[in-house]
Amino acid sequence: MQKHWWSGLFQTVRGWFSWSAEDVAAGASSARAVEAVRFRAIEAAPIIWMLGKVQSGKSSIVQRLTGASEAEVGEGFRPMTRTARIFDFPPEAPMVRFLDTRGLGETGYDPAEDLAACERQAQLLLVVLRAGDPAQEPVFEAARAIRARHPAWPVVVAQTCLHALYPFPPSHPQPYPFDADGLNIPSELARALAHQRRQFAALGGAGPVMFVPLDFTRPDDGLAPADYGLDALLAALSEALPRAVMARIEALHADGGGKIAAEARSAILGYAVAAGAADALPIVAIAAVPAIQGAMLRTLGSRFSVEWTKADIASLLGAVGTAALVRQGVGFALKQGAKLIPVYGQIGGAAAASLSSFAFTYALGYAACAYLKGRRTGVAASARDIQEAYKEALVKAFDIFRASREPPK
Amino acid sequence: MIEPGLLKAFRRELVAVALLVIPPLLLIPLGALWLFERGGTLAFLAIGLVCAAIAGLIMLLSKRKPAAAQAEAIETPADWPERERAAFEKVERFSRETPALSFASQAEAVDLAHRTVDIVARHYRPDAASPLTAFTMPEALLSLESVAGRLRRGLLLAVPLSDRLTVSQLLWLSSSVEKAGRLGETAQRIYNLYRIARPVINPAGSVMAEVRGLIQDELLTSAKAGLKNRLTRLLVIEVGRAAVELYSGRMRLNPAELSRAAAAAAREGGAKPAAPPAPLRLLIAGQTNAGKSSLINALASSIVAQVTPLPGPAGFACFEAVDPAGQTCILVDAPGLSAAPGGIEALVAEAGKADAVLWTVSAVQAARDADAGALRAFRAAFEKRSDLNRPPLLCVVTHIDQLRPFAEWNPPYDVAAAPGPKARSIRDAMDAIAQDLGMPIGRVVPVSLAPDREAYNVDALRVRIGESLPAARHAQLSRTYARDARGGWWREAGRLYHGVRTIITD
Repeated sequence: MQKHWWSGLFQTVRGWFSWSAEDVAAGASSARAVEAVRFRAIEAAPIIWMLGKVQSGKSSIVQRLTGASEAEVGEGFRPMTRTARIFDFPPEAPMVRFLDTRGLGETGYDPAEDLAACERQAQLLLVVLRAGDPAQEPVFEAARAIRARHPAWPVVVAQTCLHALYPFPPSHPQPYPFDADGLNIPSELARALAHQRRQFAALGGAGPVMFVPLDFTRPDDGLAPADYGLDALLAALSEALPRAVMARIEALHADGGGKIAAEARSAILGYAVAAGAADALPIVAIAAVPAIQGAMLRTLGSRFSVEWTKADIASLLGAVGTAALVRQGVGFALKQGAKLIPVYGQIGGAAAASLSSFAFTYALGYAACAYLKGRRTGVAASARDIQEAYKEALVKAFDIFRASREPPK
Repeated sequence: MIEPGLLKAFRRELVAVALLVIPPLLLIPLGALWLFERGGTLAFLAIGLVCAAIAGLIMLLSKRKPAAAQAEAIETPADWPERERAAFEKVERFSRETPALSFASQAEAVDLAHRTVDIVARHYRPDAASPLTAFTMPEALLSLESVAGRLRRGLLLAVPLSDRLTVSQLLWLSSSVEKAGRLGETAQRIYNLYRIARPVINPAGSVMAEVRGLIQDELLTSAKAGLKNRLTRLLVIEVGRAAVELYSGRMRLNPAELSRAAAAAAREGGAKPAAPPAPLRLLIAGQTNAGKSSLINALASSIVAQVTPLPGPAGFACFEAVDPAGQTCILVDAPGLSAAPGGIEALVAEAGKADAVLWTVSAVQAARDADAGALRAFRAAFEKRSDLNRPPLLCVVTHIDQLRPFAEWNPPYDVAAAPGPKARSIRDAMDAIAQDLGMPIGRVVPVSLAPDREAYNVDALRVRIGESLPAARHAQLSRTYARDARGGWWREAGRLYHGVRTIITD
């Protein structure tokens, strides 16, 4: 459904006027508000559906795509259906979710329940196969059942643990040979990969099926590089996923924001997305922007082990100046929105609203990090530092937003 | 008269005994002469009387209990399933309760055997109207053969020199014992008259002779009863054991085995002096790609001189391997675990024929649901079928070379102490597999069969297979290997030992 430009403009204008420091403070003080924001984000987040046997390398892939640690991924999976568990990332304001189907080793897996739970939001089937394990019938059967229902969903087949099929002592062939002529591939590995390709070529359906050999190991395993094949995986995903989803993933593992923000980056991005950036998904203004920002401040506070008080919030907002903050955010959105016009041909009011909410929230998150860092170390951050962090984040927010736009047809 | 054949058979023993016995026997007349010349006859008689009285007292105090009550327990074969053991216990109880045969008539022994078989038949077929006839002719013949073989073994072990007595000699012995018995009755009556008259002639000598007579009677009757008891028991136990094997189907031959046995007999041109034990049969099960084929290759190349494929049940690949000592080993490669109906039943049926099952699990395959599920079904199937013999199960962990750290491979690895990271990884994988599969860690053996490296720990696996075989099978195999190393003298010594022990304990 095409939104009228005036409805977007109306939302933007309403957003400017509805924003108040009191609303942000109220959001930050209520655990229930934080939960509400999380639920709304979960409803809107896209799902990447992973199929693969136990320890075929699914967790490593989630880890590399989100930048989360091994422990975060291990503990982050929650049961969703009887046969599937889900990893929300970031957990407080999910912007992407990974569904992991369990019990593929058992007989007669029926994907009906998992389909019912997630087919509305699923974007992609990510099949994970250990290259050295030719017995993939249960995985294939599950993939075929899902494919029969959704023939257009793209399928990315990750072929993992390549080193098990290298001659001894193992080392990765360089440069990555799997997208070129393949002359440099050890013969046993080449046979195993070809076997799996033949098997999954029989999937049928209209959507693309892409094969990505990769080997994600620990840095101390002595198999450099530890994320062998990650670029190929990202390339395949960017072909398979909508730009909006891909931009989030790229923003997640691209380094930025310095060390402070490293632990908070994903949360900030999640809340900013929730606040309405990616207009490829119908999540414009899923909740009032101040409520989302309040929830974000609360989450960031708990990550930095700082309890927000009303005075703290007043102090943070005062550091940049409330009015300046709002004006800057909106002005930025308009300016950047204007920049988008010659590039992409058109920018609707909805996009402008979305951009302003996204950028404003994103930048506020980084400003909050600067403030909280000062609180934690006991040396209060200067207003200047906070303003610097805010401005820098605004520029990055635009990059992320631009990456999420579909190029003109 | 004594049969000349018997004298001939015991010629050597008779000469040896004579040479040993004659010199000390000479002392008796010489000593008597000496006593008579010195006039010490009366004193000697008095000493003898006192000794005899003391001996008599000891014999009376330690009067033996009936031999049947203290007969040693017969061991139930450890590798038999519950139902067979229950049947065998019935037989064992019957053997203890049944009175000793008099060995006077053949009909008595046949009747006892018949009653024993009946006990077993009723155990297995309580409802059948005529439980005795529910098996085939070859089975019955095999049963006869096995009873005969075991009785022969029992006799050889229990009765010294029994291997040199011919049947006619045995018959002569029994008839002459009867004759001697009739003769003895007359002699007894004359002797009793003498006993009455004796005190008048020689008071001291007569008392001593009476006491000695008492002791001899006591010793003779108890030894005779003991031997009869023992032989009766032997008969019941061996007939019962064969009957259990017959009724439980353990003795059933399949047509392939029959034709093979016939062909083998034809090749040899008659009966062989001692049949070799049945070939060792190993079943190798596990998921596809767990390394079953590599394991068979490794086992085969480490033990055999030749390998030939055999026809097997559908999906199962069989190989016959002959090791340099001539011992045959059959390796059965099960199809990869699958959810296909009947897969587990086929596996269980095949395992029932095997001496050991090697469950192959890849260390790097964490999806072990299929293994755990199949093992559960496997165990449950054996529990339901008490007639099947459940072979010992070993878990073979392959692909340990692919565990962390990937670039290290310096076997051997001490997984118990686990000093390095590789050994720790192996140990962790073994623990996880043991836990997932519900197996004791002691039955998990890690191996590496990587094609580009030397196989690792396969020899240790062979040793473990040998150790885990059922005790009887293990003994049978080790006997085969030891047979040629043990000389005839040792065999004789062993038999003599058993014979002496029989006499002492009875």
